[in-house]
Amino acid sequence: MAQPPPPRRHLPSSAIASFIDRERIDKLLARWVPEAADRAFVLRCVLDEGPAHHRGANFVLLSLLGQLLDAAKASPESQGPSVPVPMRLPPHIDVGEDGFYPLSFPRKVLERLAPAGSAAQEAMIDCLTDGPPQHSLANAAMLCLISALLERSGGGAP
Amino acid sequence: MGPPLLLASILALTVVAQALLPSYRLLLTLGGAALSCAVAALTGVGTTRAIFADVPWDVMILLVGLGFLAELLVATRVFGVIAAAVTRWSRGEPRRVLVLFAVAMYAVSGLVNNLTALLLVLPILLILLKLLGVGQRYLAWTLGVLLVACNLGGAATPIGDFPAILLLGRRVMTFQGYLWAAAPPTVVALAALLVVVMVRVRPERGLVREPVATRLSLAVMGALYRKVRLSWRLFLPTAACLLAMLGAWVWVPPSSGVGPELIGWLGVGLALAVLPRTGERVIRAKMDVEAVLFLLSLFVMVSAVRQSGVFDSIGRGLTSLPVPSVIQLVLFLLLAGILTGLFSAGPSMAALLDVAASLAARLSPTAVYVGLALSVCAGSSLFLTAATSGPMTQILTERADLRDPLGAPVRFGFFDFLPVGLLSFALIQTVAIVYALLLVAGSLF
Amino acid sequence: MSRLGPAVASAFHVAAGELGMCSAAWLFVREVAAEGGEPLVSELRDLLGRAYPVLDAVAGRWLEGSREPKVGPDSVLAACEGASRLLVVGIEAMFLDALLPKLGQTRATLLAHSSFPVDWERVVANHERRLETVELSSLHRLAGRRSALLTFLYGTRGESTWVDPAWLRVMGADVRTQFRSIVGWDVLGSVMYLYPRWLSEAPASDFSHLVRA
Repeated sequence: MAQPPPPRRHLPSSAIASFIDRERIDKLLARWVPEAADRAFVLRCVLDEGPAHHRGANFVLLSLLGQLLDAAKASPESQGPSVPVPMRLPPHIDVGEDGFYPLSFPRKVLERLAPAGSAAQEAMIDCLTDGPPQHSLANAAMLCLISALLERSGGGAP
Repeated sequence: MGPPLLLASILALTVVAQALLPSYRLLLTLGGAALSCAVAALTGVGTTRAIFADVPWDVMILLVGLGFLAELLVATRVFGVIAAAVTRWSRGEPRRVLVLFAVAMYAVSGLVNNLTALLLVLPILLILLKLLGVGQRYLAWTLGVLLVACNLGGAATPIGDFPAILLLGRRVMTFQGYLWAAAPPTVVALAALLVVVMVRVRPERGLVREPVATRLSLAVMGALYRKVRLSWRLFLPTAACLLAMLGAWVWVPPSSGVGPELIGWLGVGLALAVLPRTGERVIRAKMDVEAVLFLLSLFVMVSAVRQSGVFDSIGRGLTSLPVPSVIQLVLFLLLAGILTGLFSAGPSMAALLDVAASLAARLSPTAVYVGLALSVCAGSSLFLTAATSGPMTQILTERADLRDPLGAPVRFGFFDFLPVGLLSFALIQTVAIVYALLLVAGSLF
Repeated sequence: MSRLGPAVASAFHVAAGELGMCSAAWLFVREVAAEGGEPLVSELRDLLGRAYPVLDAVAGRWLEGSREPKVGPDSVLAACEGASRLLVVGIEAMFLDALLPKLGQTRATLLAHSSFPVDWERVVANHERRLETVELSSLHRLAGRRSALLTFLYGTRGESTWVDPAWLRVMGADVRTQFRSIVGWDVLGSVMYLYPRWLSEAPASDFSHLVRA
């Protein structure tokens, strides 16, 4: 009888924690979330919550996008409507504006893929903002960076 | 079996059944009331409309209104402040604890119904007893005297408990007439009880007291109430409305057409309206539906019996007994006390008030009605089960899980209360009879 | 024969429920010391220490010369800065008495959930208009980007800390990401020597801010 293959060897989670540089992401997000306490909350959700591989992946992607942003000397968009990221509160609870994380992303960037107000764009927003905050807030942060990069690249409107 | 006997049997059986099966009290009394209406309608005694027209709605209004007022007073935290002060004054000494809490309970239950008074004061006393660590004997006598003080306080004022409210609502006595006539004998009865308990019974005998335990008990009580203050925002308008109601009850003449129930309705309504947020919450969530339904059912059954003429017959039978009128009164008061002990105050008072009317026609009405209220108070103090406050005390005490100094659980059940009940019944019933006879004698000369 | 009767145990139980383990312990130690000095504090520690290890720790501190706890709430206030709502899990009367008057516009709410019998109305009445209660099932109503969550810690060692068991009912992965600040206020300031009865172990990493007494 064939022996089952040995389990794949994973790196220890401490190896993941060791490469996450919170300062770097904190500095990067300051452009979109100016208040330190709000930023600490977003950072905690993106880098300290959920499975370790998500935390690590969030750090890698955000860091690289940040490098790209610095290289392109891009800065955040200053106008246009934004999409807030809701907390995953029980559906019957409505705490108003407080029920959204202190980071939102520009809606305009999605118009490159689907017209404003279309069902497709609404579905995209739903996909990006749903799920636990290590997903939704990381999505929002990356969209902020991507939007600034696209603006800077002069891609203009779709 | 004729309709009068049938209706009287339904009333009697329902009263017995609810006393035996208190956990089905509402089901039984509502069922008894419906059955009474059905029998009355089918036998031609009276329609349901006629029976309901005979229900003393003014008494119900007073009961509900005073219940709301009690809840407003609860929200002011005045009773918590009083109880905490009483604890400080007691200095943790068992004798002082017993006397001071009994007096406080007497005073509080003169203003609010007995059950509310008990729910306000008892938890604080139980915490203190738990902190002090008391024995079985001391606990039984302390809680027993507290219950009796609660009954006496309820009988002292026209708004303290159901029997007095009934007398006020039925307009057989005025507010001040009842207050001046009933308060002194209740004070005498309470004083007599406290003297006998403190001098003869000495419930604190055998308790081992350590200064450090007393010190800790008082320190903990002080910390639990360290910043509990009277809510003046709620207290001032509530107290002002209560004072206005008391003034109106005393000075507005019945000839004006404004009865005590309307004064109560307007006064409590004003208090609730002045504090709209608290008032709306009290109306929505704090009405004692159980008490209202229970008493309504009793009134319906009593009304059916009354319409059948049974009470008139009993009244005639009592007044035609071949003994002097004062002996008839004594027998009536003893009967009221014993019936209340067996069936509780509500049914006894509702049924006996009509019989009392026949005696009041020949003797001093004040003697008859105040004697009746005091006898009902005596009966309520006879057994732990005679008033709703008794089982409630038992439940609260069980929940408190009190222990004696050796760690053994201490209880407060039917037989633990019995010595207190027998002594209190004897004392209050004696005061009731003697006082009624004195009033009769006073009215003759 | 001990001057501390068995009733002292039930008295402490009552106090611990409504004042908090640490506040009750300081109260008992202070009163006992006033009555019988350090020998009686030692006696109290022997009598109740095993059952109430926070009392044991506080009595130990007293015997080492400490006469009162450090209740300065400034670090907690700093951790809650900008929060419009503060949900408190667990009771510590001495510490809440110091904190709540300084909260300003921040609305404080206490979770009405305890292993001990507690008269919540009385607890709230001690903080007139500064504190209200919420049931466990409704605590999400207090969540939000300007909400902070506070509990009391009874010692911290490495990655571990000890909390009121109610904290474990509250601190799920969902709640953690619904409050901006999660503050642990170490009111004991030392690690318990005895088995931490009545308390539960929680990871220190649960907290965004750890405030030590």
